[in-house]
Amino acid sequence: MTKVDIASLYHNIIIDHAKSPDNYGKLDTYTHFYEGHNALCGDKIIVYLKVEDSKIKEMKFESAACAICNASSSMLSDRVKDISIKEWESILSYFRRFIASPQNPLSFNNRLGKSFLAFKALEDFPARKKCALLPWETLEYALSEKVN
Amino acid sequence: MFDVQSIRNDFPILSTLMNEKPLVYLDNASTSQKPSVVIDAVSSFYKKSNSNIHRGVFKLSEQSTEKYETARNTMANFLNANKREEIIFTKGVTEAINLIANGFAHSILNKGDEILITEMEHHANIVPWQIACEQSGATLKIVPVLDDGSLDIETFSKLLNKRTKLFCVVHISNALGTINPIEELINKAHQMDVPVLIDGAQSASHLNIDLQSLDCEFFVLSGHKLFGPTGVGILYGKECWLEKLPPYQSGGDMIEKVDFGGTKYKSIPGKFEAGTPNISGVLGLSKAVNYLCSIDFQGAISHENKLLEYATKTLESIPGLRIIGTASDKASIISFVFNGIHAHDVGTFLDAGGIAIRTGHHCTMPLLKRFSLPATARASFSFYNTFEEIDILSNNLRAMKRYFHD
Repeated sequence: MTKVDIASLYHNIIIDHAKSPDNYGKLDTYTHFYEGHNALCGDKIIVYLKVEDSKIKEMKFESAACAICNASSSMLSDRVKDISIKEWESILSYFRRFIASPQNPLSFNNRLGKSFLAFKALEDFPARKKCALLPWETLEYALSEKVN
Repeated sequence: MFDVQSIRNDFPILSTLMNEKPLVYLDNASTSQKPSVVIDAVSSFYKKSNSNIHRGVFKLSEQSTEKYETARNTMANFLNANKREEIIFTKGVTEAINLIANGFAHSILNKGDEILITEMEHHANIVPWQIACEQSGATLKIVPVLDDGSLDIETFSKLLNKRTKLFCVVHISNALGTINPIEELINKAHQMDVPVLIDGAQSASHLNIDLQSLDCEFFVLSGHKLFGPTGVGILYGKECWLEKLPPYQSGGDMIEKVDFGGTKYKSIPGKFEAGTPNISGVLGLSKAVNYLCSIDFQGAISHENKLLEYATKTLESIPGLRIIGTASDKASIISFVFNGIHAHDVGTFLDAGGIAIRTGHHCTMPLLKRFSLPATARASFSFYNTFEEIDILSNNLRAMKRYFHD
């Protein structure tokens, strides 16, 4: 068994986002929301979205989750601000491929943004991949559940 | 005389490295490690004895059958069951409880009846009863847990009534370490003519189990938490109850005679053992029990209690660490949380230091909800763990705090 590098996982970017996440809280008015759970560990995240004219205007979130999940949520909330649903679908598929094999440069595309490379270390921590994916999957569910 | 160093030599995995550090295995409540004698028994069965049981007339098969049935005697003796036929081999606790719940749903429960469980049950002792209640129209009642992680006995007494058809309770909480006063609970239930199912998943490896003295109607355990292989466990049921319950699975080996006009089942235990069982697993489990009988088990229990005491004191001294579950009677299981550091991050950090602990909800989501927690970190100790390993745990936790807070 080779040694894993804990500092590579808890990259400065991840620690910074986890400690003081962007867009944490509940949107005053939102069009979509979803409560996502990680059945394996009990983590919870609630994603609130304001969607207008096929565009995600804003995302906020509340969570009871680990540093990886909170950092991923925070970075996601920054990334999806003012993007079209089409672009969201495209970055979601990139992120999924990236997390599936984080060390494979072919599966990664700069459309996500450089900061997401901080999750590259998940290659060595496969048990934690689901933590990074949870906010993304919750956002996906949120979009399919419109608030009446 | 209990000597932890010589015991450790019996468990080959304990001398391996993890992330270039000596493995510190503190996830014994999930599954225990296996001594060489168990590993050898499983491997030897496939090398020298593999053949099906209860079928062949050839010597190899007869020998397998004899070994398998001898293992039943071993388990009956180990647990002090009244009769060997009261020992049913299952896949583990989950299958054993599903077997009982299925039988209750079909043959015992009616609309208006109640099943009583507790707030500290493992999902395996919750979900089968939810399904049984759904199927039968019975109602599930819950005994609450107090702030220290012990059962609310007063409410338990009030919840017992004439409609209660079964009381199901965990012997030792896998999430908190609480040892429930099952003698008292069984007595109280019996005073109301309520039968009792004890989930012994955690207790069989930490306590001496005497079924005749306990007098419970059902007791279930998993082999892999008792130093045996995975995929094998025990359902003990009093003969009268096992006779009353219908078969759970059906097919080969559980029948006397099959005819399109009607099929006659075997009597117990065969009625509940359809299909080819986990023969090597049963032999491995029997070997594990023989191993426990060969060591100074009282010494082992006393060592575990000292580990619990030392670990509690050591962990409590780490600022920001809070132990969840502080009942007066506990087994060597410690759940804890940190302010500002999630249990998963604790688990990953410790893993890098070669330390294996469990993080999450421990398959007890209602219990964690009761404590308003999404997850805890849990260190669970076995008799092969050492005081030095607790120091390593504590040093790594302190280093983790510096890492995440600086």
